[in-house]
Amino acid sequence: MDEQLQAKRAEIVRAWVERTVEMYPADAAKFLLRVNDPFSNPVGTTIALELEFLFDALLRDVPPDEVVPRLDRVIQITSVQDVGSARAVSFVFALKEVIRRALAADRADAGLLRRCLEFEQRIDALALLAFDSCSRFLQRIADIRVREAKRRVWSLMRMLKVDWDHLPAEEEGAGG
Amino acid sequence: MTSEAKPDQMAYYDREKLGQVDLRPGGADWMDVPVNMRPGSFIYPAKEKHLQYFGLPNPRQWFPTDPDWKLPANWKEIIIEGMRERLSKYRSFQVFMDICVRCGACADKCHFFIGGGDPRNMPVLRAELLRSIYRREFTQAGKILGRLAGGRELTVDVIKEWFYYFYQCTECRRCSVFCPYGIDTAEITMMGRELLHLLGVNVNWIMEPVANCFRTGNHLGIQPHGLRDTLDFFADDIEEATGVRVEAPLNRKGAEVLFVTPSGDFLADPGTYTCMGYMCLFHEIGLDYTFSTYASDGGNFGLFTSHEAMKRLNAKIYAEARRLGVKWILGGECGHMWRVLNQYMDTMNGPADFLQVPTSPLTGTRFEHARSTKMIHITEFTADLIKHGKLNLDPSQNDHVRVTFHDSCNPARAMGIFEEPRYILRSVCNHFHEMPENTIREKTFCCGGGAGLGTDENMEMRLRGGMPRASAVRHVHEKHGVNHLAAMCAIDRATLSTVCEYWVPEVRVTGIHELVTNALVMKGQKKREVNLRLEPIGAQAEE
Ligand code: SF4
Ligand code: SF4
Repeated sequence: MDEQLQAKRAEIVRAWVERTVEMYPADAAKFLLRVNDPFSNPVGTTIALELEFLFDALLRDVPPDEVVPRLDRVIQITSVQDVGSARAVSFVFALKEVIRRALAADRADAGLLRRCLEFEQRIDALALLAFDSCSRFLQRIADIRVREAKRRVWSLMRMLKVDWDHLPAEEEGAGG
Repeated sequence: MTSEAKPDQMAYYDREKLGQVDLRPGGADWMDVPVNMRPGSFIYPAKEKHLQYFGLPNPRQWFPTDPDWKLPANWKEIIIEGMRERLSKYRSFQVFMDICVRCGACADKCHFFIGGGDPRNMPVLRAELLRSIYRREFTQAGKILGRLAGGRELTVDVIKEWFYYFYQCTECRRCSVFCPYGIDTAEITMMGRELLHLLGVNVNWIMEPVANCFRTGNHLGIQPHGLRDTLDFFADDIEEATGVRVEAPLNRKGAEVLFVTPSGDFLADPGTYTCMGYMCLFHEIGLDYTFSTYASDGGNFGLFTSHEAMKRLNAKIYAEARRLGVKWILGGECGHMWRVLNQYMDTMNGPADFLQVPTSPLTGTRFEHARSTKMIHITEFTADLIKHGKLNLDPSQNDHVRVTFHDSCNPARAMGIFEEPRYILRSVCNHFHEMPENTIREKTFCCGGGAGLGTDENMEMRLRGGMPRASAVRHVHEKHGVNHLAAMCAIDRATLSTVCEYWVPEVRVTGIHELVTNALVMKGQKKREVNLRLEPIGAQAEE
């Protein structure tokens, strides 16, 4: 299985990226796929780069702590697209169909389906991580809202000696 | 595919549609796709009392998702007449309506399109929202050929679309840098908003500050005694950090310089530290200056409202300069204040003949370029001080800071002030790193919250719009360990803090004069162990 997928790696990754940017309207998708400069097109280039990494990670079955930071990069983007959390993680599931399409020609191979289902278990595991990641980012947005409101009236609250402690604190690492 | 396929058969999975959500508008012409008002993208309407206070039409209760926006009965006539009036009054508007060749050079240059992917946030299409009505109503071809000539009928849906998209433009003017004809989509947005105002279609995040500023002198509605208390409170913090007691003169007649800064610097974190920075600097050099309560905001949300509102708010600063009898005006780290000043002030309220050409009392430098407005930017003033060796600086006090600089849209694109802030940062920090070339200077990316968009009901949209900026920040964070993002604009300091917390939480936002003062060796200071935020500094902070 892994060899079959490895052989079609480029084709699969390309199709997976294309399916993922379909989240956007057609005119935007064209731009996201076409422009290669990471600063002119941070969304498209991030998706392309990270999906490639994630696909390789699935092939090598790497542990979650290596996968999560890279998965986060994509989910961080999809979590603010106002499309809801189901759509924000849907790109992971899309990989299943992409792979089945890519392997369609090998249908005659009797063991393919079993191996395919095995590989899909890895995709399912990735999907669970994606849900996790998405809820973390949604929570981050909620916390940021509170902190922003806090910052807006910072000097006033300090002059009034208001105790902030019950409000969400800054994230670990914030402020360098 | 067969419909009988079972889950253990390959064909079953071929049909799998889970996650295959098609958001494509199906290739239809954009004119046929009605606007979809997504919560998280629009801003709440202005409250009636603010419109009444400023004397604006049609105050009422309404909400963007209501089917009926309670427009005046003759709304269509109002818009057409409003357009006619503005086409004859503003030549740029007429020209921008006529000359776009739809080359597409601007299409992928807007941060909202880049980060969010909504095609109507392509500048060319944003302008087309208004231009299509112009063609239909004001050009022969459009009147006769309608749709074939790119015209469309003015309907209530068009008004809704304008509201939705003209408040998804931060008037940052990045797109105009790439347009071969110099079409400034920000000006088109401004016209769109002016027209919407005629119908009472506006947003609270802008109208409340405008009404406040008109009443109390600043957007936040801080009253004179509140401002006095705030500045004294800052002086206490400064004393704790430096051991030096500084003054903050307020409404002092006969001062040489009137200092005007955005009111965010008085209230909001981290702008407050920048304000403390100014106070320390002025104390150290013995500047004869005053803050004012009546002109306690350099910001001008009138710019995001209408030319008339902008003029009224800008006039206050000059009225106050006259009343106090100052010689010239020094402006703080504000963004759009400088657009108003450089591009509109002179026509609206100038020339300020009763003032003198700004001249630094310490170096003798005459700022000739401000001959007419009599107002200069604080980075010009400070860079000149540093250049002449007037400040005793110890950049090692900022050694824990690895800083990059965000060019704020207005000082960059409306003023061309690129070198002074960089020169200052390099003088006060040992670690300064630039972001990639296509994201700085005149090509800088907006924070996503300018032009009155920095509220919280549209947080997701701001985060999408801030993403291109954040990507460049992340790049220098990963490459050079950058942990501070400096910006000379109050809106930036507020909204980029949020953008960074979401995209690059390792980086925090600072003003330039916060860093200046943290490196400033003040006469009579105690051994500096903490910065203005009362946090450990220099090498200690790195441990
Ligand atoms: S770059 Fe200028 S001429 Fe070209 S589409 Fe944009 S606004 Fe029109
Ligand atoms: S002015 Fe800025 S926000 Fe508005 S369309 Fe142009 S790039 Fe986008």
